[in-house]
Amino acid sequence: MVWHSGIDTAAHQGAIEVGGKTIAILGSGFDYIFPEENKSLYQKILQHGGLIMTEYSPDTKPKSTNFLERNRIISGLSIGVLVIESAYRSGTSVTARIAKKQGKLVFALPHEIDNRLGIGTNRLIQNGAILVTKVEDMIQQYPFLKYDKKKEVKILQTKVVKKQPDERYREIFNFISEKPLSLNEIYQKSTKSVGEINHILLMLELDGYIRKTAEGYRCI
Amino acid sequence: MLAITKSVALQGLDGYMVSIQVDISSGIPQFEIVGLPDASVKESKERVKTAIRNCQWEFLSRKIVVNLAPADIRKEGSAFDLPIAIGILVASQGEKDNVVQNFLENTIIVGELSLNGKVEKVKGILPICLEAQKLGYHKIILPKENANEVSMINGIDIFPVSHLKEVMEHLNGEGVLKKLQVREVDTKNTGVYPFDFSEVKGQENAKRALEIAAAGGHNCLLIGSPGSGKTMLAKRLPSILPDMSWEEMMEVTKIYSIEGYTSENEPIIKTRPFRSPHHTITATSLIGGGRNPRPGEISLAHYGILFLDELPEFPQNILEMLREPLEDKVVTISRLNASTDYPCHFILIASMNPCPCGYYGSKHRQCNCRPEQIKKYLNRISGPLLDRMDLYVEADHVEYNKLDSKEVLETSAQIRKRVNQARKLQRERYQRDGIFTNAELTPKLLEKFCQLDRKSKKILETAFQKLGLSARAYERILKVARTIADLEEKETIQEIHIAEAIQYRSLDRKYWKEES
Repeated sequence: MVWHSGIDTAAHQGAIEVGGKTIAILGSGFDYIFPEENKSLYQKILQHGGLIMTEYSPDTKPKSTNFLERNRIISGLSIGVLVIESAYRSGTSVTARIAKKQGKLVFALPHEIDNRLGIGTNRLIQNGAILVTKVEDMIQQYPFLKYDKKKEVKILQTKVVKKQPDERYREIFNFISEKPLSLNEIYQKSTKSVGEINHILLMLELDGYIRKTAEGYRCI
Repeated sequence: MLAITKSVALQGLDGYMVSIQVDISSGIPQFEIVGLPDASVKESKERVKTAIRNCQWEFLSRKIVVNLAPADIRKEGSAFDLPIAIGILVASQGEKDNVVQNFLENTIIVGELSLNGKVEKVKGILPICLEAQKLGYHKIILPKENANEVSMINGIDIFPVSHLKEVMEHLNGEGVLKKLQVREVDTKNTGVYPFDFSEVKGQENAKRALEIAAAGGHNCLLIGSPGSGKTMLAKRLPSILPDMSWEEMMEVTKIYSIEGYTSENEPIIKTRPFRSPHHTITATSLIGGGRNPRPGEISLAHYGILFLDELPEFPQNILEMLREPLEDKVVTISRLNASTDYPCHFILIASMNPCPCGYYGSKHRQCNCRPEQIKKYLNRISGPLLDRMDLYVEADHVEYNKLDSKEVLETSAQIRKRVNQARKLQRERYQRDGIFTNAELTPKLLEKFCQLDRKSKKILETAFQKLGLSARAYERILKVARTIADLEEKETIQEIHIAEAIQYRSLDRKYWKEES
């Protein structure tokens, strides 16, 4: 379930970072901020001129159905909905459906066909959602948005030049992509022993080339 | 008439001499046993009486008093049947000659009687025999069925008997008891295990971690989704454990002998034990205890493995009890009657799911748990217990086509060879320090034996900063790195060893607690 962490937190934070204003909508009353960890984030939103709203009375406890319901408000307030990840039959796909009904534009990020979290987005695209690979894809849809191309170039230029890891670690590094790979899968592809692979993976991680997540290793 | 026979009773793994004093005097016919006998000893009255009658001897209608000295220690078990019966028979024969007196004074007698006079086997024969030897006795009469279990003991004459009559014939000069031949026991590990690591497909990282655990005696926590093969892996661990030394075998066999787990066919425990109690286990049966203290699962796992499947399902209070035994390698059980020490030097292997639904981090099924739920689930295992785990391993799901593959995998025997070699290095290194494995290294010894070069130190430092490892990981990493170096027969810990050791601290990492 995506509603309590990850993408919306990231969106709020991103907005605050670039000096924008952002609106958070709760699935509970004000007495029950959920999850706990988000309290400081909400403070920040308010400090930056944002807005926290809810349709529930202060004593309403967080309930999963509430979160689905509040999604209709999120999409209602928005000019469009971008779906980043959505599993089969997830809350996100419900939101996308509501947004469509509300006459909003629905955008979706394409995923590899076997990605569990891409099933929903790929289907959305199939059903007419706008496929997004870069920011312009969305901005183009809204003629009233003024878009400064130069600014974006600046951001692009600050991107780090990709460096290559040490020669010794290259074999293993080449196996690792955006898709998380477990140690056993790497072992299958490589000729090295588990001990050596473990060593190399740690070095790659410490040098900032890859990242370990619960699902496995992926590149940054 | 008074007759005194000698026997040995056990308290924990050690024994003490019991002198069985039988007095027959005139008075109202009665038969009384005194000297703190428990129910099983009291019942021996009926067995002794009937056995004597069924052997066509007369059970005198007199006042018979049997005293088990020392009278202030509670006695249990049926092993006193035989010495009591012999005492009564000798006492009822009247005047004894010196030969009989001498024999009774210098002979330990143990055995249970059945109603027809047959001598039945008893529990704990090995520690009884060893104790008799320690107490300075040179002869012991014991049940024939137990003979195999003690046939390797040198320096004490063992007379196995199968019937009460045989003993009495010997005493009356009508027959001679045959001495048991001392036999060298085949202590060689048969190398036959019900399970083998070559049957486990995939799971290379978990296999490697278990190899390290076996080599260095490290406690290990297996984390993985349901069906990923955690239990399967753990069950195969005994097959790669190092061979046991003679002293280790004897110590383990003593414990098993007390519990009656040794038999004629398997007189000596030659393979390291593997105990896997269910999570409904009570505190007493895990740690040991009871009114007359008995060893618990942790002692039955002595020099072997204690495997706790689904660790978070165990009641927390029971898990906390493991803390001191894990540290001290011995558990002291104090009861009103007695206080007993049982050794419990085991490797703890535990398994658990990563989250309540079990699929956190799985690529094949979505995890439905909220981060707080996961945190709560992990918190069921207390910090101090996690502290005592040297290795955390994530076992992941194996693909079907992998299960089907025909590729030939390393057998347990091959892995065991490396483990044995690594253990040998450790034994030699720690000769003067009173420990056997890397897992037992104290902070002081760590400093002595786990020096890092500049490069390794740098890696460790960076890892702590970047991966957010907790401070408690430090010693664990050093110990595990030492074992990895030993497996490669390297004298010093190198960069690669430290790096691998760090990889076994996943639960200490930030990602486990933050992302989802």
